[in-house]
Amino acid sequence: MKNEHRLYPCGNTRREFIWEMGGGFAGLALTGLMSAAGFSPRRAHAAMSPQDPLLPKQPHHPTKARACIFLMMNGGPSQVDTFDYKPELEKYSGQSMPEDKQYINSGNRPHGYLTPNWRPFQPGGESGLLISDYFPQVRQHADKLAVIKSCHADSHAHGSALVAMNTGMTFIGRPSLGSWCVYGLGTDNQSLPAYVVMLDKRGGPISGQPNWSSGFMSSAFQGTLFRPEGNPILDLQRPLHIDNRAQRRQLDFLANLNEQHLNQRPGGQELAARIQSFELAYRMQSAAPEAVDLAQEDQRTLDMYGVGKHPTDKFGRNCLIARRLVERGVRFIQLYSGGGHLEDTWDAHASVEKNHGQHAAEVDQPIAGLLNDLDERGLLESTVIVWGGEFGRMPFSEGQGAPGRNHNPYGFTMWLAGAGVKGGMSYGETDEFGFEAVKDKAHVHDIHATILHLMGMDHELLTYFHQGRQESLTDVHGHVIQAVLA
Amino acid sequence: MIPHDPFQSHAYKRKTFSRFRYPTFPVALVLLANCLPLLHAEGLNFQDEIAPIITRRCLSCHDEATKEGGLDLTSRSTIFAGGESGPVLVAKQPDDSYLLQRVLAGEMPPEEEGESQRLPDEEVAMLRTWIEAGAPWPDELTLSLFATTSDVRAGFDWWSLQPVERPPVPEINVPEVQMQDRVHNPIDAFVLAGLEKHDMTMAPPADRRKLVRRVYFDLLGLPPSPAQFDGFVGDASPQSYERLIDQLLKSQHYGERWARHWLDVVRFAESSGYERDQRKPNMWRYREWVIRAFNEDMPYDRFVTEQLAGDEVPWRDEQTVIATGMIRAGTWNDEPNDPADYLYERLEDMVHASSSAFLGLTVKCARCHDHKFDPIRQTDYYRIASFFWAGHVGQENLGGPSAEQLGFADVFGWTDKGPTPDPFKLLVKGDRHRPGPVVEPGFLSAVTELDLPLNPPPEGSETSHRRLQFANWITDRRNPLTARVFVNRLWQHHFGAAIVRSPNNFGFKSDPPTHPELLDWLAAEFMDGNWKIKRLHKLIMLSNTYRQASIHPQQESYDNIDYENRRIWRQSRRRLDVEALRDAMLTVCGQLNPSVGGESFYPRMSAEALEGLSQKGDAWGRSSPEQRQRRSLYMMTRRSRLLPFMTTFDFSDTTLPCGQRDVTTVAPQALALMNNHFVHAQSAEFARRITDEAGNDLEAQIVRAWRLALGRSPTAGELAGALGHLNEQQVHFAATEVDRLASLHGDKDLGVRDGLRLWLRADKDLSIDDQGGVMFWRDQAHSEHPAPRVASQADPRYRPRVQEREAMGGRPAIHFDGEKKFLQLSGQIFAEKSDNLFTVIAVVSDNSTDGAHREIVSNWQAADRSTTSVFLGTTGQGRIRFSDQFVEAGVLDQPSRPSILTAVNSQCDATTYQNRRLLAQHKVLGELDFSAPYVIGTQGDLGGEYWQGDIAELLVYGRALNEIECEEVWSYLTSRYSLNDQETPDSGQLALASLCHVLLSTNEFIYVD
Repeated sequence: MKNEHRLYPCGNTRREFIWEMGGGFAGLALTGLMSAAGFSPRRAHAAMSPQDPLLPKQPHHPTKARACIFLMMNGGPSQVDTFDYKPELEKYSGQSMPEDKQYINSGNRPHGYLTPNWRPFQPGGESGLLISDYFPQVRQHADKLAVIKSCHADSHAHGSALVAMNTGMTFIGRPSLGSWCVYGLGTDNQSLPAYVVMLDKRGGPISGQPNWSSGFMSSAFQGTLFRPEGNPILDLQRPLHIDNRAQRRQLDFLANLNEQHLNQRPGGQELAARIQSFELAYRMQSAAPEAVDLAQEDQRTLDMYGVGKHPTDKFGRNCLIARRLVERGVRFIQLYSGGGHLEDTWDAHASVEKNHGQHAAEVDQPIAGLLNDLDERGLLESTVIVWGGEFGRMPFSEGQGAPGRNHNPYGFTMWLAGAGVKGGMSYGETDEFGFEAVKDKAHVHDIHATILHLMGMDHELLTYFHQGRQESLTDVHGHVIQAVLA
Repeated sequence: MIPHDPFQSHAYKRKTFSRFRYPTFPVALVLLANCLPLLHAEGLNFQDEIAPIITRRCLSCHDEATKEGGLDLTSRSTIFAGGESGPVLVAKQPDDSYLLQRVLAGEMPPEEEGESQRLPDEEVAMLRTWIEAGAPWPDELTLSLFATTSDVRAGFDWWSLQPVERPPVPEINVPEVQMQDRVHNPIDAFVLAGLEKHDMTMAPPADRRKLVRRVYFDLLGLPPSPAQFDGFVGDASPQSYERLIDQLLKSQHYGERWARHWLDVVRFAESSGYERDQRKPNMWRYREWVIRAFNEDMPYDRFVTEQLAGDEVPWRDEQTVIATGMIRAGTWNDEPNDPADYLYERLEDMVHASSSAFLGLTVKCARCHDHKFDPIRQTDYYRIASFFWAGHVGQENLGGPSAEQLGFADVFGWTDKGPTPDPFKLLVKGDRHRPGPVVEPGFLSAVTELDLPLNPPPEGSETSHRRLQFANWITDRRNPLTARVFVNRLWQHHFGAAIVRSPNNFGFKSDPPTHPELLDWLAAEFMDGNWKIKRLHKLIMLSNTYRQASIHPQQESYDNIDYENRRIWRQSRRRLDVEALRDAMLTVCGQLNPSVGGESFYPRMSAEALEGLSQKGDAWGRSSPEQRQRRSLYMMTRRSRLLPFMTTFDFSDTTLPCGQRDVTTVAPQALALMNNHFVHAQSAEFARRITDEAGNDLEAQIVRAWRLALGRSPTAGELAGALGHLNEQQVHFAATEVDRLASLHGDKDLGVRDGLRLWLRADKDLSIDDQGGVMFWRDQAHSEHPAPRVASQADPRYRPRVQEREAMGGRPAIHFDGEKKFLQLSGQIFAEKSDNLFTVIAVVSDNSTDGAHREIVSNWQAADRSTTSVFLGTTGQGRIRFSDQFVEAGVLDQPSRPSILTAVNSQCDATTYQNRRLLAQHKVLGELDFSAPYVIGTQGDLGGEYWQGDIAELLVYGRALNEIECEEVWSYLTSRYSLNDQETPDSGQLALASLCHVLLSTNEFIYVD
């Protein structure tokens, strides 16, 4: 073909090109096998051996970050009640929003009046960051936080806003942030999933699986649901009558049959890979339960996270497991606070005080414990922590004198901490009501670009070729928020 | 085979390839730099040297169509005419030429996304030289951004846009006798010609056992039976192979197999996705239509036409309207951020699905601007989108026309709103707030020969006839893409890799065809054969190219030359896709339900998989075991909850058109094969089948297992190994039997308590009078009820008696003698209930012999609320009634024996079970009144229908338990009442199942040679 030389404009070889197109015939995603078996990925068939897509890869730029923990406050926490203090709301309390403020009234809910913060704010740490009494324990770690008060998002509806916070776009079918991270960086422990998602016991997020999907990428990069006890991963538990020894015998006999099969098929790299995959799976059966075995933790640590105490036990366990996963080399962990619908999430339509009172009480100590524990163990400097929901909430109430607030994608707060993050700072501003971001606006794409940057990656370079286009998490948008970088 | 390295393209920033910017290429600079001496030495060649600079650097903003600043740089007259700011070119005076001034200032081309697009010095120098020379420009020459292919983009002369012309069949090197022998049909000639050029040979023919397995999986997606293996292998006649293909092409399973490939291409699923993920009613009928189309060998041109315009064709009927479900199969958001913006997202879905499926082009990339790589203008995108704009792209009816508008009930299809659609405007940069000119419907301008205006709809038409004309344009013989794209798909599924290995993209960014002439020959053959698909299958499969072995005698050296097998020197070894894998397991285990067509079934979904849902628990339907043994094609595909077993083995992503699935080898697949419930259940069935067919002789069992799973007898070594495995496992299972039984029958606690509203146990907290009658009992649910949960029976005459001993599995039960014995409840089970969801589970025996109604639990009220009352009971010979809305709710097997009776009203359906067996299924029960008082053992306040039999335990939940939760409760009750109706397999049977399990996990089973 006369145009053949033009087909790989990205500088990729044809093989890589085919791989990017979605694997298919040439693609072979193999988890941690060839290297574990002593294969040098490019040795046997120079550039032909199957290589593990999850092997650790070098980042674009040097970073200490090894892992990311995304604390997803599902439902949308209210910024003016938590991290974005708006004293003006006292002044305007009981008045309507000025008419020039344009917004979509999600769900056509009743319009109420501007309503000040439900709990008082107090300064925390040497930085004196103002954090409300919903988060008294996180406040003690104020000097670790970079609070971004000028976030804004593209949807007022939970379903599409959650998908956007996870994948960058409001429609389903794109790879999630965690997928991009493990696609770009691989993972350090091949016996555990690279990208772990732990849901709230009350249910999954709206839109479900697309929130941790790898979209058009290979499914090797998708998030794995992890349960906080027993057998955390799907299909990890053997059936009742098959114990370890019985299974070992099966695997030995299987390997025997497969070896003979392989011997008759020279060059069967994919067959060799599958033989190895059973050994890895066998190891995962012990590695994954071990990772969630909190009996190995001392009482002081358990207490730090509020494990065993109401109402912090569940989220506390998840946070503690997140630390254990970080220790074991898992690259990306997402923890959901809130699941299902309405009051089971941070979706405080009925009452901010009741809703946030409950949800914040569940997560405040666990998050503080996580920050503290990571810090004590020297892991905070290599772990990026992200806190936030899919959007924020309105500064006005839902209906006259009502105590709840409606969805607000125009201005809300997220915070970062840990590896590469400048602590004790606040970035960006909303208007005097806390309604919309006005200064140093930070779109979801900017948050994503910043997280990727902290993880050592350039969001413009991290691309995946799909159907004729170099796709990226941030599409053609996004800027790294330089001010929050240490 | 190198996996994707995300950092390979360091030097090229992503934005270079974004939708919004043109790339610059070092390679271009090198070429141009090399031209410089030429320029000076031999004078200037405008066409080769200057035209490319203007075309690449300027025309995207300054051609006839875009003409920014009023400046058109496509011809001599227009460039000298200048723009709004005056002349831009002064011949022989470069420094006075505004064009060069702007270029020198770095202002042109303008920066993009904050990055300078300044021209390299070499190019600036060339422009200067050209102007100095008087800016010569051939009078007749008009430049076009799209006319010719360059090093950065495809033009109208791009290969896939050229007409399909049947190429001559190559002659094969005559002295090479061996290769001559390998030419069965022209396909082989094309492939051998390519191999010969590189001094390579084809692999020898596959042996017949491997070949027959390959053919079965390719055409049917199912393995051959041992008899089918032997029949083919033993048939020495030269026609046997052709006969086999003919026979399989007639099988109804052929349509199922190939329908699945097509469903990937059109992003088929049965729900909308997003928050509510609504079921798309009757979407399955589209799947049925596709199956039938393949089975009936519908010509491809008609196949295309009915899917795009089945509502507009002259032969319109219900089936053709069902076919338009393709347009509507994509995702749909019922709560978009901005419904007006969302219209355009939906249009993109339709444009993308139809253009990638039928044309293999990424037309959607031209939504915001001209395509960056292919000669597709932004107006082309809007031309195609206008076909769908005419339809019901709104927020009603799950984003489409209603059944009335379609003219058929129970059809989920597409049609226009009327014959004259609203004007459709191009959106500048795709922004709805920047409407551009009205775009008239039209086709892709890149197919220049067919770039014709559309006709208005015929008089009296109810639709715009735009889609019908689109379909006619696609299926016009002169359309260069349609046949190429489809034969390529067909090839792909016969060889594991297509001729163009980017099957949904034939544009500039495509993978080049491995055999361009062969592709064209097949395309011509396809069209000349009246677009018949089965004929093409046969042609391909009869070729020696197809019949090659998947390993070659020169495997190692050929691997080094051509690892990807682009020259097709062997067949490819393929992993079964997930449907074929699951269906093959069902087949060899003797479990496959081969019924063709119909609605989808719900597979058993594990608790872990259900946990990820925002609607917890009951939003997943239940299907009978028979339904669950149907082919995977019929599995319910809800976008928010795909079965993990399917996605683990690379099921297509249902949100976007998928031309080629990933094939991964990851540890979760091994875990699924090792531990998944389905695989173990199949292994147990496999063992049962072998014992039935081969008796108790271990060797006979092993041979049978091998022949069923792999189509061959075991080798001596395998036989010895298998015997060893059976013996070791049998000893092991025998030694652990005591523990196993203990854990099976040991005392379990009730794990599922969420939503438990009533829990009666005959062995707990009962006050009994001296006659053994129940005076009081205490509800064990301990729920937060408004009223005390102590129920009583005040009148001694009506007290049912407790059977202390051996009543049920050695435990007590409460005996109702059918003569006015019942238990009243003080207080309500449900304080308020609007969702209608509930579950009743009871351990009962029914000793009635007459045909009278008898009830276990009920809140029936005599006063005209019979259909809304809540009750569960039987009527004669164990026939179950689950409220008056579900009166044929199954028949109990041996009703007088204790068993667990379960009734669930969920969001999907109402179901009843005896023990673990699904008895009956009904649509969701209509609104029920939960408020009236409940009684146990009679029909509400009727004063009759008294239960005759025992009740040992009764649980009522205020929600629908999902299947896995039901299993947990059953497991608890089964062990408590020793109700195990399933035979516990002995250690020998478990050992055999273990061997079967290993066979189902072997590479020989999972891969096809």
